[in-house]
Amino acid sequence: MREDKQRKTGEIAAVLLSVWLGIAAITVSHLWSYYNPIRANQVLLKLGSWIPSWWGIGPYTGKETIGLVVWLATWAIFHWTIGRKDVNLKPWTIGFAIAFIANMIIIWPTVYHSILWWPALPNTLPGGEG
Amino acid sequence: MRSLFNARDFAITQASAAALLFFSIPLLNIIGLSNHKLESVLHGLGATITVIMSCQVIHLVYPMLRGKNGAAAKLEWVLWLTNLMVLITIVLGNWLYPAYRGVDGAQQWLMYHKPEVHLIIMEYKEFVSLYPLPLGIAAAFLLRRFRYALEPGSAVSGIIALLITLFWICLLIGLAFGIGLAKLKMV
Repeated sequence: MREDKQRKTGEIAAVLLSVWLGIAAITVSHLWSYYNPIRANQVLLKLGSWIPSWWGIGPYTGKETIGLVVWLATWAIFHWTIGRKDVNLKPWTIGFAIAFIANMIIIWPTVYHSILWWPALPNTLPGGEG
Repeated sequence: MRSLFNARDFAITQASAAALLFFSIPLLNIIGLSNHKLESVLHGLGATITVIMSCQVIHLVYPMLRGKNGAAAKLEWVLWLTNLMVLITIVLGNWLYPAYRGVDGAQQWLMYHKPEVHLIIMEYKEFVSLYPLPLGIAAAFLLRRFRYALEPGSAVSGIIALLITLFWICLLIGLAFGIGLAKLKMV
């Protein structure tokens, strides 16, 4: 199948960047929710309240929503900006691979719990929280 | 006498037996101990079907990389179907989540008895299982838009293969950790 017009490689960069930003947005919102639950969970629950049973699923719905919106919104923006230019794909590919692995490491709970703190466990505190 | 069966017969027999037995992992829970059978069996079934389909997807990547005629079109078609299954399984996971997280649910039990299982396995798996959706849609989109540029060794085909490989790894993390969680504490 031949196209009349060559597509710009910037479209590929836009795809890679938006996928990673969506994923990173979930990570950031989760870390925010762990760091400052009183403030963050209120916002996350409100953002996630379009999902059925959001009240049972909890702040996770907000994290899903943020990831979805950031991914799709940045994809649209970058598709019409970076996507109109040709870019060198090598740094984009290497950057994406490294950034993806970095996210997979940071979201591994023993890593961020070691950097922040571990939650109080329900049976280690008298009348402790869950 | 020539062989009664050709390579295709063996491959289809093996794949069908693998799929059927693989489906039995979630389906056995119909006679299991779950308190939320419909949600948990459907989520498990969705996950196993998705992973089996994603294995077909990753096998179709290699002929695409070699530039075989028609391979990219077939890969794109199977990938879109798998993306749909990824979405359905995420929705089913959301449906199961209130039961996991609710009062007297699996999360509460684990936090009292084996907090690591919730704090490490579940807290990782619930996010990583979402990644295949953007990864798979991105790969399918690039397969469509850059079909004309998919020559062997081209940058685009390498990026599509990278996206699909990450897609498959994240799906398998979701499945392995999900089965592990269900084995340690059924919802």
